[in-house]
Amino acid sequence: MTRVTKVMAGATVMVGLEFRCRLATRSKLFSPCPSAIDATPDSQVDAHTLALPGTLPTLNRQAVGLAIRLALALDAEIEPVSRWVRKHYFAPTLAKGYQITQRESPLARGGTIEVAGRALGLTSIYLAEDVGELRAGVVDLSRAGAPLLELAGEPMIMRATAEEASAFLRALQTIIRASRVADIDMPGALRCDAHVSLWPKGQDEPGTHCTIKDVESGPALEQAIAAEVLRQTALLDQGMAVAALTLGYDAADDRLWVCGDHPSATQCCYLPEPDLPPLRIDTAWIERARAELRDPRSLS
Amino acid sequence: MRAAREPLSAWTASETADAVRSGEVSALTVTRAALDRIAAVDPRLHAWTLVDERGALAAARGVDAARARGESLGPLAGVPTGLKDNFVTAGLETTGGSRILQGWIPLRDGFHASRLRAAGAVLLGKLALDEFGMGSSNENTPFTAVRNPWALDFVPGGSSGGSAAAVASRTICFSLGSDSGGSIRQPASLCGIVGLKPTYGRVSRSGLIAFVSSLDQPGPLTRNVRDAALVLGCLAGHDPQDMNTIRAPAPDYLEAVTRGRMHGLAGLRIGVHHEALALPGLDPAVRACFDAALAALTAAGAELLEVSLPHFRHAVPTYYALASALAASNLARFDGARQGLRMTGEDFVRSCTATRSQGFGEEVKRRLLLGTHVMRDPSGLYERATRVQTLIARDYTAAFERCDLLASPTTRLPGFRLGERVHDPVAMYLSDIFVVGANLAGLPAISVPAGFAPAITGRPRLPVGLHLIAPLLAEPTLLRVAAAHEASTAWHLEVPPGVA
Repeated sequence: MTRVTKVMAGATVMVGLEFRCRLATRSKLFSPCPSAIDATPDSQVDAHTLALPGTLPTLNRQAVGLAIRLALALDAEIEPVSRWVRKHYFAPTLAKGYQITQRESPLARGGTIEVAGRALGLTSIYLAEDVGELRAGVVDLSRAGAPLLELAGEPMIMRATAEEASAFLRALQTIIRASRVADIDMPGALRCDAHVSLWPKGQDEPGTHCTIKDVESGPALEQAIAAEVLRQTALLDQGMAVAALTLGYDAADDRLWVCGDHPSATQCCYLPEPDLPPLRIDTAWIERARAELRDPRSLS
Repeated sequence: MRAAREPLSAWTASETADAVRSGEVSALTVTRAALDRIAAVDPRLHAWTLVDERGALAAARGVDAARARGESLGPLAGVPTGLKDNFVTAGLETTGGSRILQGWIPLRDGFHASRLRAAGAVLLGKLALDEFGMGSSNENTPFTAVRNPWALDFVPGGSSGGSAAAVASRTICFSLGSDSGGSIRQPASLCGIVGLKPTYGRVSRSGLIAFVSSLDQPGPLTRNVRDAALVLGCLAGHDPQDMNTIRAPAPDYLEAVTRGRMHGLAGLRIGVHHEALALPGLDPAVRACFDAALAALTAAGAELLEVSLPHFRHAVPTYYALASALAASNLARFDGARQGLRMTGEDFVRSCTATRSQGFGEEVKRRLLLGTHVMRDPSGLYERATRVQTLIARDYTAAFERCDLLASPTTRLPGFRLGERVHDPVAMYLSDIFVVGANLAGLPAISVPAGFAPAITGRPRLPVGLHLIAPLLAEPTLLRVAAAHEASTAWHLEVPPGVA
């Protein structure tokens, strides 16, 4: 981490963390198709996953129960009514051409992840369906439609180094393990996006941020943020502007790459999801989830 | 037996099912007669996109065998039917009327095919439509445009034009259509038959290719009101596959029809939508038929009063904003990767673009452009359209505080010639002006035969429809009034000259 402290002399590092937890449900978020995290490629595909014409989403209540449980474990406030939207973009991994998410109207707000006296505040916690994967140019839809709980953190100033970000990731892993809502030790169970920007001294606001997608471990997150800070610093040092990019991080090579698969916010359009009524969560449902959180015998 | 003296093609669904159940006629005989009639009249109409002779005969034999075993038969036993080609059918190509889905043969029946088969109906095949339901004339098709059985150079209406022409030409007793902005009722009016759009959520959309998800509603096209009630009874109810279906159990729709026929309409208040009558371009012959229909309703005991729907003129633009955006959303899945047409390109974006450029027709592309614009509009066009939709729905709520039902003509004109409006999309969109309101407010509505516009220079004699709208879930009121009107008229018994 020495290289980060060296280049940070003239600027503050701002990092916003977003986590995606793959909930361990028996079936997908909107269809009865099985949803195991360790499934072989293309083994979990039904008419809905393939987005065949005439299919409609039906909500998996087990996923909602697990989402409430994790939100409670993070001390978040459950919203009595949340709504679904369609997020549209064209990608081979997105069979419907849109992803159903609660991004605009989340299931829960607030909540914190605490590490050594410092709290990472969460702005929103919401359900969304996962997309498929592209492996060497071949689409695999096994993962498509799996339930994700997205946890968006407030942007914060990294006081020390990128180590702090990875400490929050590890703390969240511990909470998820204790609440038994995900197969946390499986690859892909918890993915993290880091929005990284530099705030040069004397400027009114932070610079353009870049997003590193889908980092899965604490060490990888540290290295990815460090590499991105270095890259942005070098650009600014040369008098060049930072362009808003979506990046992937390859931990084996310690290398960032520009990722074409994820659309930027301006490429997406949103519409309210007309196939799903608003999600209403009453106190009885919350209390059931609270009891499951306390009961170590309750699995997912 | 009134029915037995007439050819099988004149029998209604209720008469056919009764005769099959009683053993008066076999399902096989009925099916063979229907297949023969398709072969005789459809070459002039092009209503059928696919006729499944083998499957139909096997289904008919199944009904007859069940009867021979002494099993009780369903309410549609042996009744020949066809589905608009946007309903998913096992083993039968389902195109949605689009080249982009050509060749797609679903493995499983959707809700509607499966419900109708369970009720004993014999599915003869699939019926033509405007591509994905986008149109009012059946001309938006890569296949052959459907003809109106009353005048072969006139359109049958749309988008369920094949469903309407197949019933009007008496190849089948009833068909299913889907109605997002009048697509069951407008073609029913133009073809002189009954078309019923239930309350949004009364009938499942599972297995219907989505067009405007918040407005789409399947419903029957029939030759009389009783059959509409019979078919609705087989489809209505909660379906776990469609989370928007209503949980309230379906009432006895046939009882409402009997009530209307036997006991009249005493005490019922019918609101006459006066903005609709003041609209420029309302054909005088349509107006005359409408006035005669009101006289028939008054004679049956109903009281008439004038009502206003102040936001009426905003309904068509609001509908097209919502419909185009949701069309763009629902059609995003057609990228050529999984079913139907597949064009290859160097990468995903190029092959997807090539497939969509080749696979979609002109009107679909126009709506996709319009819809993408609505979605991306920085001033929030979609959100604003939903606010106007709320105002329109409130107009109906206010109107139904004063009356039980609203009446208007179904269309401004009795019909139009093929090709007459293809180059004027806005004129085509305005064909829907009396019918879109019911979709925007989610209300049940029906079009029933209400007479004929007499032949004049340049136009043959054409059917005219009466349009009735009821409050949410008041299908019984709708059917009762439609049945009372039908009991005092004989328009629904006329046979189109083109297929006599």
